[in-house]
Amino acid sequence: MLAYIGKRLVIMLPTLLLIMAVGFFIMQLPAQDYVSQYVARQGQMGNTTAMLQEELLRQQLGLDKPPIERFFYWFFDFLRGDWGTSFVDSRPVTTIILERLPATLAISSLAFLVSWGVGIPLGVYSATHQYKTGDVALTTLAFIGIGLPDFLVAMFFLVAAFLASGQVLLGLNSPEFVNAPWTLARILDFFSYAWLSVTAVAFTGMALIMRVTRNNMLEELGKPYVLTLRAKGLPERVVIWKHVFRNALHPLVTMFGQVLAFLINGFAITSAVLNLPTIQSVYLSATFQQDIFLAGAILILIAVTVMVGNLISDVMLAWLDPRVRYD
Amino acid sequence: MTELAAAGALAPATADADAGTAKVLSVRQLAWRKFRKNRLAVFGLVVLALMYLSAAFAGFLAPYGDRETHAQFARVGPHGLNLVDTEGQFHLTPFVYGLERTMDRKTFKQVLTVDTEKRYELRWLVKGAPYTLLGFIKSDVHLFGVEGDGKLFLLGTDSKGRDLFSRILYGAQVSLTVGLVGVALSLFIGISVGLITGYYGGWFDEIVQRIIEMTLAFPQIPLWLALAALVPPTWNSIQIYFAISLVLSILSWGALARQVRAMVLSLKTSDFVRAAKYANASTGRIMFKHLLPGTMSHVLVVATLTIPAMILGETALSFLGLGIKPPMTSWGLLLNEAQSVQVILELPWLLFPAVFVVLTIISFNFVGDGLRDAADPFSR
Amino acid sequence: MRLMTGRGSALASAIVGISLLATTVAMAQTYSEAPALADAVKAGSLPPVEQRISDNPLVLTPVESVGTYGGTIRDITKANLDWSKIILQVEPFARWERDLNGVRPNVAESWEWNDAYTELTLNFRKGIKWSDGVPLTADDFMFFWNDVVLDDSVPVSFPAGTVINGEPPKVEKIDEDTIKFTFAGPNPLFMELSSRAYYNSAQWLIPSHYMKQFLPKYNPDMKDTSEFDKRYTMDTRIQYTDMPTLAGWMVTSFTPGQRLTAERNPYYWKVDTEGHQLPYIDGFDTTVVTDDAVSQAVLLNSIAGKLDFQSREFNLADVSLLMENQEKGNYTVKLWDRGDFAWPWMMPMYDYKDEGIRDLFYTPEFRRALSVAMDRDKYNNVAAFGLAKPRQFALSPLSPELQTEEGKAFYDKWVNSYIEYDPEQAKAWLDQIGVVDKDGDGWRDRPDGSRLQMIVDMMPGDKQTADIMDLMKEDWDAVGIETLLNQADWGTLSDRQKAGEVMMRAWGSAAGWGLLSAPTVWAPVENAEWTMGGMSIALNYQSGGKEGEPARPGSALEKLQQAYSKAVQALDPNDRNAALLEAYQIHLDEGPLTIGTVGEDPTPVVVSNRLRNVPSVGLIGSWDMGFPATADPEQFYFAE
Repeated sequence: MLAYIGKRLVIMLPTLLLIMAVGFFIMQLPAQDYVSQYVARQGQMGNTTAMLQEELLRQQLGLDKPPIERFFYWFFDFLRGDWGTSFVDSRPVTTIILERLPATLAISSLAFLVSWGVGIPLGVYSATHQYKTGDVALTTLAFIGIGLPDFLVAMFFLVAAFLASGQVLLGLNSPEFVNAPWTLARILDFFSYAWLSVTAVAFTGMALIMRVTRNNMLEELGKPYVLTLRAKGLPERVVIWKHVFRNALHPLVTMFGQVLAFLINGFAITSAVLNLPTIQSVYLSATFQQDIFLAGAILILIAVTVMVGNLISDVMLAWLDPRVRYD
Repeated sequence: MTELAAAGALAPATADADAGTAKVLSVRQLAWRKFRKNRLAVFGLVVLALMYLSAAFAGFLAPYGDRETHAQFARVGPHGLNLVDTEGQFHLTPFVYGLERTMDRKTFKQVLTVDTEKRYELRWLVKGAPYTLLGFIKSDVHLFGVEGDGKLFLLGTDSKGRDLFSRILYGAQVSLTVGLVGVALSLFIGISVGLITGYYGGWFDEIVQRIIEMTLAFPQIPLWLALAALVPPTWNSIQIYFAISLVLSILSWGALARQVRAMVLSLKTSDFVRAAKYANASTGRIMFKHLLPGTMSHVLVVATLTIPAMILGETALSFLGLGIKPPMTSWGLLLNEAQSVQVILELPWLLFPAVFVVLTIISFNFVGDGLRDAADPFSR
Repeated sequence: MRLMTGRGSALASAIVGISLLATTVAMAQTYSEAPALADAVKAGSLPPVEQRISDNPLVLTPVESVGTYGGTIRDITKANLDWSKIILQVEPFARWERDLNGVRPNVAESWEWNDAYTELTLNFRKGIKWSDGVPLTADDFMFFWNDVVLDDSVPVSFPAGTVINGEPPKVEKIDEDTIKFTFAGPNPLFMELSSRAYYNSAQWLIPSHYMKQFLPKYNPDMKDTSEFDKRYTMDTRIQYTDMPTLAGWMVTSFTPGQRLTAERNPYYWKVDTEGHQLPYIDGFDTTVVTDDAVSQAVLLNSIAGKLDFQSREFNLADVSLLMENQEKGNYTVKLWDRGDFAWPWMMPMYDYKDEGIRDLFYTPEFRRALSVAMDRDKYNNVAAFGLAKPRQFALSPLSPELQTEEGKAFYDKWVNSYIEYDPEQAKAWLDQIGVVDKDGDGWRDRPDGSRLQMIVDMMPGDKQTADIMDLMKEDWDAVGIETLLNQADWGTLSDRQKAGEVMMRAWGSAAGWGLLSAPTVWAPVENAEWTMGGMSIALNYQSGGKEGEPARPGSALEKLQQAYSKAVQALDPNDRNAALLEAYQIHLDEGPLTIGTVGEDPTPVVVSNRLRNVPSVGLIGSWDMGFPATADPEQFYFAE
């Protein structure tokens, strides 16, 4: 197994290089680049001198060199740890990402915990009480969660919370706590805002997990070995949780790989709509404005998390299911 | 015993209603019987059939045309049919009241007055805006409507004064169809690749897995942006959407392939597969007649969850400004117009398309569940 | 020598006389300051107020009443901080008047032109200091000119409005507070042009004592000018909290994407009519919000009463909700003007590659038909809640040249020309010029029988334009003109427009003022995407006939280019106004050359009921005029 893991890690490198190359060139495809968009916006606001400086700006930002040359500069700088500067606010990309990392991880992990932690038990319940009222109610809720776009759900929650409490729960803290030290007051303030975002994000995820768990459980429950276990006299609880549930987990495990990527690539539009200071929301704006270093760095992070997530999935699958062997 | 069934062993004989003759039913017929018994699945199927039919005949069923605007009645709430008038009298034919619209210059609110003096009766097969059915049938007859100055806004109007009920019907045409081809393709590629790589393993499997990783790690939004920039401006909205969703589905087969592969990996060491090998079954037979059914239920669940994902994906694209553009309409676009605090607070009827989206997704899921149950004759 | 403060010369001497008197009176006054500053003076950490506000502080007349110190304004800006910049960074040489009738002294206390308007002597306010107490002198500007503009290694080119006929001006220091510009040709509008928003003279004023450390020339540790550039360009200057400023408030903290705070500048050089040092308000507490969240943020926070002054980021659709909640949120909604003359603005391109289309565009009846085929009231009701004005393409009535008696009468005719909804008349005109349906397919064809299609391009993301274009397409289809609508992003559209591949463009929220802001909207003279007539035709004028292609001889476009030249060369404001009116007359006689739809869209401004001295009228859409800084937020105050 260790050899397998080692091999996978080694293969990740050329894949990563390929992703970097393809991603970089994809971002060059639109005819506009950051400078032309910038000049256009400035022109609209009355700053006509920006037009005269277009070439100069390009030179400054290094955008006048041919793409291949820029790619190699970027690639080698990246490996050295220099991830470039954001064109938009001239700050180093690493600073921006690190600044947003805590909030991103906080919301994503909380949402993950809620959606999996609540979704799985509810899914098991749904399966074991198939077609009873509880199942019907949960299934309906699940469909609403899956059927609606997550940013629409977020908007709903925002308005509902506003009507109920008069609080505008955009972002993750009240203005006075920006950059304040992490006192108890700040932690409480954080949760008073975060519950909205976490609920909105977890709602869709939970619905999905619930459905998948339910389906897997139902499938397992139909298998003959369940009958055998019951015939043996094992209590239902043991049958369900020790045997059926463990088997039903397998497809979920393959989905686990996506969770890692979800941490920084999920709920992007909801982030933007709720003004969350996450990596996702800055990724959206960076992509649209063609802020290529920032967008490129986040792209790499997403790719790495996807690959590592997949590796974890495969390893966990092998660990859980003795029938699976990697030769 | 599941293995035996999957091995294509003889299906158990079933007794017919009038006892005596024992009928042998194929697995497929068994499955259909099973499916029919599942009330929820049938319900889902019926709903979907209705939806698709309505979409096909949208022009006929909608009281108004797809571009028709009623500028002076923009942002009006549902103004529908009444059976009982203000005097308590019951009318057999439903009718709508007259409608007047003014703007209060002080509060900038639109003031709507219902004129109970005027009554417009519901008529069947009215002449209205022209439309084209199924691409070639031209007509201007609508199933129902009101004549004269009467307005029938069953679900209200939007910010440009277009009847929402009609728009939902027209939007169904796009939302219900545009993801299908992509999903089908995605499934085909995903299942084939998953089966093959799971069964053979080895270096081929490794390479494919890495390719899948690459496609999954692909930045979606930049890809959309880039594609949107590359598309020739002469293409209309639908063509653009088809092209983009096609490309994206080709990229999304990876997730399904991995899941199929995972199941194949665990199934291929099982007894029935070994039995089939000893019986000199060809690899193809092993894969399609033995392994595939074992993965079927999960595949079906994924399929029925992918179509809604395409519908929602279209919503996200509308939000980012990259998908269907007006004057074409889709549910995603309709929901997008509803995406604002002001709408939720003042024009909540514009959120109605969500009901249809959820209904469609529920139906697909019930059908998927039904299929899964039916495909496995030994499930409860 | 002619002494100008932006008004008619006859009035000038009187006004100058009065202001000098006021200044002398002001100097004899005692000054007072905010309590916190008074404490600092007592503690010895600040010099007394008389030494901080310059020898000749600017006296601002409050809109309603003299105010009291205290309070913090809460507002919201997008990630690009534009809202904060337009309040905190508009301190040019002169500032626009609140009613847009000229400019008034700001950082410059006076200026003088020679008769030919080629030499400008500019006097900075004596004793004016940066926010760290260091005096602003002519040396700061000379540093800017010599070490920044003239130095090729620094990416700053000659400022807008200084280069005449391709030649830059000479700039010399006369004394500690005086500089002199010598332009290569007459430049009578320089003061007005340089007063626009924060990109012009507001940007040229930089603290040399601070900026020197970022230039390689003065600091060998600097390997390039990147640190300097970031602090020079107004886009990012606001983020540097240690950089001295001339504005009423200094930015004290900035957390990107989250929050910006500003506090009063103890060295601010403006006072009210009773000698209180401005600003009254202690500072700003601004929340930074993503573009996708900003509509929700401003609407919900207004209703919740959490915003004190906000004039941007609202949608017209929000007006009724905002009005409904005025009591609950303890605010008043004022409606300021966007100052736009059309939204959308229909721009036929007279340099479109298809000659047949060009012929049609050069035919007045064709354009008039298109114009009267439009049901502007419907557009107004649907897209702007009936709050905008149906109008023809005509510049803003607030433009100085349209404020005279003659101007007003002319404007009335101009703005109402060819806007009545008359599809029958449209059809009659089209029949008259031979645009009839020859092949029986239901669509009108060109006079020569070939197919006629109107293809209109626009940018995505502009709801009002999109909505109105859908309705306009119906209207044009109804008179028999087959219309196609197409959306493309800025870059693609720009490239195609340059290449003559855009037939007609629908421009959103177009604004322009005489010669000051985008004169190219009424004459094809500048090679920009917002030029009327066509980019090639404008380029032809701009390059002196060397590039692009000329307008057709004898056409209205050519006449406009000539009229523009005449207006630009006029030195006397009266002559200039007369020349402009002559130019606009061409639009009235031969137009509409570009077509207007609805304009003068209002925007809601939320003002807390505790906030005073906020004017009832103002201008939002046009950045050039510098609102809301032009409304003098330094004299806003909170009443308790």
